[in-house]
Amino acid sequence: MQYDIILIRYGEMTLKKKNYKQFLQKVNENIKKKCADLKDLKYFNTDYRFYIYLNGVDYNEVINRLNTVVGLYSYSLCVSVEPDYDKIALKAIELIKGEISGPTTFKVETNRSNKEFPATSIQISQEVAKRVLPKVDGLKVDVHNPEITLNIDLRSEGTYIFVKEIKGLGGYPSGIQGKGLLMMSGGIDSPVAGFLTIKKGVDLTAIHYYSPPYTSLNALQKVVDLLEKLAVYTSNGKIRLLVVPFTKVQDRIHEKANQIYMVTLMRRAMYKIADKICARDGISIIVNGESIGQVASQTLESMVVVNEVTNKPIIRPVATYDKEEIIAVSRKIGTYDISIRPYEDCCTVFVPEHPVIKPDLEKVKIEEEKCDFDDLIEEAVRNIEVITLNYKDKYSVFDDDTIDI
Amino acid sequence: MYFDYTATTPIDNEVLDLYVTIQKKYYANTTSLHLLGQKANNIYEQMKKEIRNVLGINHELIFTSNATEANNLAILGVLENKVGKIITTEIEHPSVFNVYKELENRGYEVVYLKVNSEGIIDLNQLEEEMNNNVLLVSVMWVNNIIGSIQPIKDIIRIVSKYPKAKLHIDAVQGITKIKPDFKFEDIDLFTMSAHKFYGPKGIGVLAYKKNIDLKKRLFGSNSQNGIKPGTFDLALVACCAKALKKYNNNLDKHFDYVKRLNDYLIKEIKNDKIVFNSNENCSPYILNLSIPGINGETLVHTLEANDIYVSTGSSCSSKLAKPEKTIYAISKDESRARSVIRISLSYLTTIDEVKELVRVLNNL
Repeated sequence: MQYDIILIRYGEMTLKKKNYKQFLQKVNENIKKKCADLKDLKYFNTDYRFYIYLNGVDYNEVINRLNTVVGLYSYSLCVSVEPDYDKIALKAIELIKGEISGPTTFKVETNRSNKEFPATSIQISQEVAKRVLPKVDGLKVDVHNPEITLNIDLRSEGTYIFVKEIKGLGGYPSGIQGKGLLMMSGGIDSPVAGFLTIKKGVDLTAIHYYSPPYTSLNALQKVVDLLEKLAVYTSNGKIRLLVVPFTKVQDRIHEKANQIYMVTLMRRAMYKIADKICARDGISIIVNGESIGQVASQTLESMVVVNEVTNKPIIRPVATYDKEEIIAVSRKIGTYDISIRPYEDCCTVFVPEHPVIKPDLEKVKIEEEKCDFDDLIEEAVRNIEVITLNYKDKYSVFDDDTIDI
Repeated sequence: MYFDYTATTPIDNEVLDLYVTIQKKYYANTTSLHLLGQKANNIYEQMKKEIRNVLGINHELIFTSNATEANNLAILGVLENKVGKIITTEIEHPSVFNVYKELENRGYEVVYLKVNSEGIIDLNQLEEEMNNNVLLVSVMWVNNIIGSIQPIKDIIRIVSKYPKAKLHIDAVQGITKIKPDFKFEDIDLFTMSAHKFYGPKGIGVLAYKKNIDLKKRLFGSNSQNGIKPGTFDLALVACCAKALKKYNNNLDKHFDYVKRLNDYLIKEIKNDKIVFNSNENCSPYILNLSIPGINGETLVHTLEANDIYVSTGSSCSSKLAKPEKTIYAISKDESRARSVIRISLSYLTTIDEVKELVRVLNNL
């Protein structure tokens, strides 16, 4: 089928009365950026819809791009027709035949914003249905529960028909909501948390606590590869990674504190560092992949004790998700296979056999005082390495060789 | 004088140099956690990317010992735990044909598509045989005996109407030689072999689409998606990528040259006893002929006495004194099918060699 236009419907932002224009402008910009190399595309938008004129560009390619734009509710592949019953019906028959493989039910729905057309929406639907029905084998009308709906859109700028609606990612346009700091371990949960937050329009910077020799370059590469997967959903296709040298802090805790508090103290140190980065870089929230009760450091009691070191809101998008639900999202966004690579990460080294599950804040503070790690935290923040990643070029943390062939 | 490039090609010098370099420098196991292992793994990833770029595909790539293994893993991997109908042609290479024969013994409903006198399948027959019960269709792109080229683009169109059916193409004799009329990206699974395009022996490739749930037929580590577990030779992988890239870049130039040699042969071979089995629509790299009444093996040795090396049928079945399957399929003539020789050409073949071949053939 030769499609001419892709009609795009916006997501949740249609609910935002006051900021609507701003939201719209942002999402339109994001669509155009994602398709910038497809030079033949032409764009047109109204207040509620966005149109891409394909001009011969492969629609699959455009749909693939749209599937990475947050803030879109759905899209439809449309055929441009002349506003004439016979001509509409002719194209509609072709369109429907391409979609069905056996007997099915349908209805016609008309949206007549071009009031110059001399009939009501219902009349138009009936006239077209009358012409389509006898031409498609096994097709029956069902206005309540049709399997397919033929949509006729009569607008002043043109008349379009379509049958299929492809779901978009939803959410708000990327970058519209300000900045967040994503704590990335390299596991399954944090990239999913990152994706869900980007979807809500938050511009993310990622932070990773790197502890050589306890963790390897492989573990760091894993974080890089994960973020490159997330970068496809950001408005500029990029994401910034802050690599915090964390070994000294970990060593100090290991050396000085009661080991049952190892994880609690380590998490507090991480949050302290994150808090300092937020203050330094003007970041509003901390985001992580904690899920209630999943491990010792993610019990409610642990969250309370760890949370105490910062007053930044901590967003835990997967807090209430079951592992299966998290894995389903991670498969969808292509991070699962990377997350399960078998390297040690900063959360899996030094884990005591029986960590404290319900830590007591006062006791934790006593242990923390023994560590006296504030100077090490300052040092870690000073020595952060920044890597800017994008979804197109693969970044390697190794001093990689390539061979010219 | 070597006229058996369809059986195998001599390794390209640059490719051989690369083999030595990689063996010496990147000998670590690609799955090792240390830096050297990581570097080797990175070269491995780079080479897969190069292969995907050359062919314009996003497929998973599995490196096997040869194309026979690749074809086996493809067919058996798709069919494992499934029951249904499978379709192939009567002129497939043994590495596909005999797998289908085995599956027929195990109870699968198997259809062997007939070919016409030019060695081409009938698309109408394929269309008639297709239904929602078909699990797999295996068709060779370029036949290894006479060089007939199947209409892969049309086959893709027909098979893709049935979502359950996967299409498997044996691309061994086509890749780097024939310009495809289709996109490799549109094929579910296909196979190739590096030694057919001046790469080393010991490496075949199975490419399959990421959405195919290919089942394991070998068991071991998770290396290569678990489909071909065990340590592989990175140097062979790199050589395969290099040879593919180099010879694919030269496809048009080599094709034109070989076509001229082939045209010359057809024009100049003037011996009434000779019947051509290949025709002008076949791959110019292959010229198959028969001298009915004389055994193929006798012909091979007669030419050998003149320092000319040709093949009887497929090198993989050339030691059998049976009528050649493909030639019988196109001719239904047993005597013709027993007296087959296959001349194969290369960009390395010189015009003097071709002239000498003509002289010897004309005096038979």
